[in-house]
Amino acid sequence: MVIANSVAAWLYGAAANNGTLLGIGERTGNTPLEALVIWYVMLTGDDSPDLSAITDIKEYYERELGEHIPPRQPLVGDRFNITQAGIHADGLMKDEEIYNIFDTTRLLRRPPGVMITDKTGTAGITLWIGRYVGRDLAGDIDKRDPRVQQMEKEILGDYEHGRVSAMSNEEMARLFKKHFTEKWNEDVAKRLQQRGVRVEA
Amino acid sequence: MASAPSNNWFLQYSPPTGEKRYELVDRPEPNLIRELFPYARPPRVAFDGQTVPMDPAPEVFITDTTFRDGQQAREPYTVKQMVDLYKLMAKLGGPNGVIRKSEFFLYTEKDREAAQKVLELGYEFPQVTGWIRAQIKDFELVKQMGLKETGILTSLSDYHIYHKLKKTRKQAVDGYLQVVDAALEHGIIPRCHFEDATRADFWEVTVPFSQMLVKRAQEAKLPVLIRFPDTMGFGVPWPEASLPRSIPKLVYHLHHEAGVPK
Repeated sequence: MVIANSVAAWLYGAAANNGTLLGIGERTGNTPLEALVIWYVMLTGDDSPDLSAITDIKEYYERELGEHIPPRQPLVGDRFNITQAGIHADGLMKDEEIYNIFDTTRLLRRPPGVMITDKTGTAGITLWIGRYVGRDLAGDIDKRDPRVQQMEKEILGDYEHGRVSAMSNEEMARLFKKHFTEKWNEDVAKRLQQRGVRVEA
Repeated sequence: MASAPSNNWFLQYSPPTGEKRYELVDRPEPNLIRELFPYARPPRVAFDGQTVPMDPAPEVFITDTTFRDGQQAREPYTVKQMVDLYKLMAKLGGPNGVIRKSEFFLYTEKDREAAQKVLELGYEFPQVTGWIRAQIKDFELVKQMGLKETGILTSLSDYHIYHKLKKTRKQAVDGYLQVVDAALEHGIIPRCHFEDATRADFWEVTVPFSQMLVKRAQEAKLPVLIRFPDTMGFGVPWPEASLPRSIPKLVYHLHHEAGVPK
């Protein structure tokens, strides 16, 4: 509601809207400054703000201030452009624009991602491999690839045995190593590490 | 006051601005607007069958209160953290100063040091503004720091006036005006924070007080700024909703009835 109210204030005559970084403020907070900047750009067409600073600010709060940002918070939460649904993962692979609000990779340094659960399916697994291992190292993998299907079978098995949490990137890396043995090498391990995935030697 | 000429080619309806005078209505008892704020039950949103047209200001921008209001709600930032975050905010706001101003507390040594360090960076934007208690001696502080503008608290709802300040509307408004006058005498732009504006009596308090501010700004030839904090989050974004909860109506009538320039 606070964003709608702030935008309404602009539309009906207020010159300035006031906010705080990440919306931190008394009780439920203030209008998030980063959201106001996006709305400013959308309403005025003035692209002069450097939106990548939104991610700098997110990282600064997490690293220097130990702030726990709710993962689903728009623009700054870890999951704001991460899908868990197979159908969304499938769409993202066909054309990123289908399920991403704008070019978050270019503007925010935040590529759309996927989080694997029992709902993500082979499309999500394929997307995960593309995002973390990369097509240059993993090859042009299709969601009908039998190795991808094997990975899915193992994941579904876990959930049938009562798992409720999402698959971690480390678990996904182990599954990839197991089923794509011939593709696994030092470059793949290095790439995964660069992308923040802890890989055992 | 005539409305500004428009360079748009199409005809626009421009209602007269601020010609009617609204008198502050002093009352022995507070108006708690119980039909909208029953308290024992969730608040109500009402629609009054009237609307206001969209009417944006010629230029829009953003102001920041991370280090003032934001800092009231978390562990304090260190001086270095405030300087680092200010730099990131300047980067985000870009060269046009979309993030135009950032406000700082001025009454602890640490906050003054942070404001000083940020001023030393010499960035054009965000401009540093202050936040002070309503004490005359605090204006010296603002002046010493070389700031042009400072926020002051002018709570407007009867909840605040009668139950917090234990005053009547006239007593409260007289007190606020003293502080505004002191700011203007020091050559400082006062920014009046209409605390709890979405629960205040709009026609009997908010508009008359705003008109007093407009008059003072004209006399002093310095702007007086008005901020509407939606303190408790009662604001709604629809122009058809009734006052004081409709943000469009609050903003629109402030310009067209109270005569506050955009």
